[in-house]
Amino acid sequence: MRRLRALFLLPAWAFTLLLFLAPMGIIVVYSLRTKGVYGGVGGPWTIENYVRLFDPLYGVILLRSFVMAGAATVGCLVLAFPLALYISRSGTRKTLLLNLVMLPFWTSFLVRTYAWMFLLRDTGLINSVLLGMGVISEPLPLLYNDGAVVVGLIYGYLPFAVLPLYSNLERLDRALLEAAADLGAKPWEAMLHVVLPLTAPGMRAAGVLVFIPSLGAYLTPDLLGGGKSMMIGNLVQNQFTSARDWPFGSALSLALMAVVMLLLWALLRRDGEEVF
Amino acid sequence: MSELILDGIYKDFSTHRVVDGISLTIPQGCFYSLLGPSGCGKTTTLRMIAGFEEPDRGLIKLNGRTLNGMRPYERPVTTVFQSYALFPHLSAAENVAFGLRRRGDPDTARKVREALDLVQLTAKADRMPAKMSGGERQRTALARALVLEPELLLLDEPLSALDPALRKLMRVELKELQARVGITFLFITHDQEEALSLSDRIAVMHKGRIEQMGSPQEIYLTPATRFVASFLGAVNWVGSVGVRPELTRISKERPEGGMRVKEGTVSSAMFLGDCFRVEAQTGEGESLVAQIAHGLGQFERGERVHLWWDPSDEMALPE
Amino acid sequence: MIGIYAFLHVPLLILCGFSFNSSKFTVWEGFSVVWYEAMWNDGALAEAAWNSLVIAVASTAVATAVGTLGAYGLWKKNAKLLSGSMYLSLVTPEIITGIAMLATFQWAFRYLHLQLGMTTVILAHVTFSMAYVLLVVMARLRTADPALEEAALDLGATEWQAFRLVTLPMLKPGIAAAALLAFTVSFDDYVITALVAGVDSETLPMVLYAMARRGANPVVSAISTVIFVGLGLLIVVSERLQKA
Repeated sequence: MRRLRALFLLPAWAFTLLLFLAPMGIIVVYSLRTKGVYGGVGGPWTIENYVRLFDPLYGVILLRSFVMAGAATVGCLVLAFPLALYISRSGTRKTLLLNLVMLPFWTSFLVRTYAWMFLLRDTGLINSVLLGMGVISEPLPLLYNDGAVVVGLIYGYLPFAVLPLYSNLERLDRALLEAAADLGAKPWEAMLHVVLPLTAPGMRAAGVLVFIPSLGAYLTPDLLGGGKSMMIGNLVQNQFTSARDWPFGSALSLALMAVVMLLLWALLRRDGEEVF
Repeated sequence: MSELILDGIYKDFSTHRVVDGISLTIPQGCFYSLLGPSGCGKTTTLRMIAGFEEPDRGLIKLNGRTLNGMRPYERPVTTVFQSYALFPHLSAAENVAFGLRRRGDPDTARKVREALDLVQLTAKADRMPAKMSGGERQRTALARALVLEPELLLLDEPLSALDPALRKLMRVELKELQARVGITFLFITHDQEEALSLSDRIAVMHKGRIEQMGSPQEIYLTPATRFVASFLGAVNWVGSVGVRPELTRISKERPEGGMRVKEGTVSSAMFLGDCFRVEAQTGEGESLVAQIAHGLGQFERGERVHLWWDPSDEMALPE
Repeated sequence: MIGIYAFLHVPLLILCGFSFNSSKFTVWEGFSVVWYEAMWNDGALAEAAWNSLVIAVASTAVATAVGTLGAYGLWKKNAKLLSGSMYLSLVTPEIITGIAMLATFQWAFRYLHLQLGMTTVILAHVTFSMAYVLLVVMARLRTADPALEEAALDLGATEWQAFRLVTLPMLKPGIAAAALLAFTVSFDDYVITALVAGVDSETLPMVLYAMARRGANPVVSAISTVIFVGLGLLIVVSERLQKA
């Protein structure tokens, strides 16, 4: 079957080389050049773009991105663990409950984000209801802040956390919980000393799978953060559009890619096949 | 009174009755076996004693205390699981220490050492379950359950995961261990040889009921029902009478008087290593088997033979 | 638990509910389909929806074919660079994929007399949805028995026949699931699309984005509801077809 398989790989290779690896290569090249006169790329080779990553001006945004992605990750894990545990113990309703978690995921990401704008904006549902009930006299600033972005990220990526945790909990031998009870462990002790340690690989996978897209998020901070809650993704976009500084945008992109790859490498190295 | 009492236990799973009115008493220090085919309700009975299931009706009493309604972690009972259920993230020693730590036992380190010593695992104390052999897993599970000094130890087919050679070895060890610790063992098995060789007393279960209780000899030699007779070993059935193949003799000549005799034609003769197994068909259409020692003759297919036995070896069991 | 499920579903249900509100504001004034009428009569919207459909269908067809063949090629074979690139492209932030493709297209256009448009959007969509297809089909292949193909070869089938008559039919459910996934990610994509789209290739998510940025607009709620119901129907129908 060898020749046929090699032949079958050709189209996939072509797309990967021309539209993934080559573009990444171009970004690498651009990141080492200077901004051209008319916004293009030109000038001498330099590492200046990488040095600028440490400029406090951008440092704030990078730091904020990490903090917000971290908050979203923690939020997702806190919600996903009990949810996955509950689903894994729901017997015949497992598939239904799991599909219910996945359902919003099949809807447009844009629609899901818009749903939160609809709830949170000044004239949105929450403010309208509170104003109508006379609880508040002025609309609460719910939208266009870090909190709104984190909620949006949690909402967007919760299924990424539920799935690995669920498959981990699903594989957990029920006899281990019975053994723990048999040996005198109360339910919370069994949870702490048996379930939690044994779901650590699922937790790590869930954490990385939420953290990576959160760190690189563009749409969520753009729509729910307005201009006020920029993350790395928005900064990258900014360099390629309004700032027209492609070399710096490229360097930013590669720095982000490096973080993504490092996290993924660490996860695969530690848990390997267990995760995928 | 130091004993386990099951009094009229019933358990249904949806519409299916799994345990159908079981009553039994297990004296303190006894090695007691629940023997039966899979699906006979023996594992469910064990799970009700451990507290993983609640009986629909009936009382479970241990040393005068009613266990009904107590959570598994409140019961003075521990279990050796069929799969051993060792915590994969804990070493042998940590597995053994698990229950003691939950109790906050100040003497944990010493007790763990002694328990590992008891099952001869001292050298493997730091080994993780994934790296253990089947026998080591079984010993760890035993030590983990015994270290809590339970009033009753439940063993759910603990030898079934081992290969045959190791199973025989562990059987001897298990028997010795029980004699040494003096804890009551309730042993669940579907292997009649295991039950016969290990137990002080056996209860044979079938379709959720106990068919017979008694010592291994009683059960084997004077079975109360046809099911018990057949489950414990091969039987030659002649009408309402059964006789074990190893008590059945075979010869070309008609034997002396006082014996029950059947005439037949040899249909197969097999050498089994430690004995010969000769099968013959009688004129009445019965198929009888004689298991005979070496030197008691050679038999060929098609040969006319006499099969005979002492009437006192007969088991009278009408269908 | 109910709280978490509410967190997942209530925002979308509220959005759908208010799309039937007769008022422009978030105060319920009565049932009406006025926003659906507005949506229906919006020519630009219709064109964007059509573009999205064309792009999704075309890119799904290509990505499913390329991804399935690729998964088969990678079966039992270790091509770390290709499979690694595929996994990497799945976790690469969209904004980076988008700008990298944009940069590549711009660079290529210096030598070719082409411009951004439907073609570039479809090429970009094939590239990112192909990785999803590859992953889903590979998962299916992992549970397949390689002896089946060997049996086919043994019985006189050519390599192509063994693939066509034995492996491909076995992979059908996986391929269908992969195609569905490819279609939804393509139909939904905004970030990459917006970067590589030209004047003639505005998609539904791009229009939605622009409307959402501009402020409260019940038409967005109406479109959202239609997408929500449409994708839901698509999933139900495809599950039925897979079972049949």
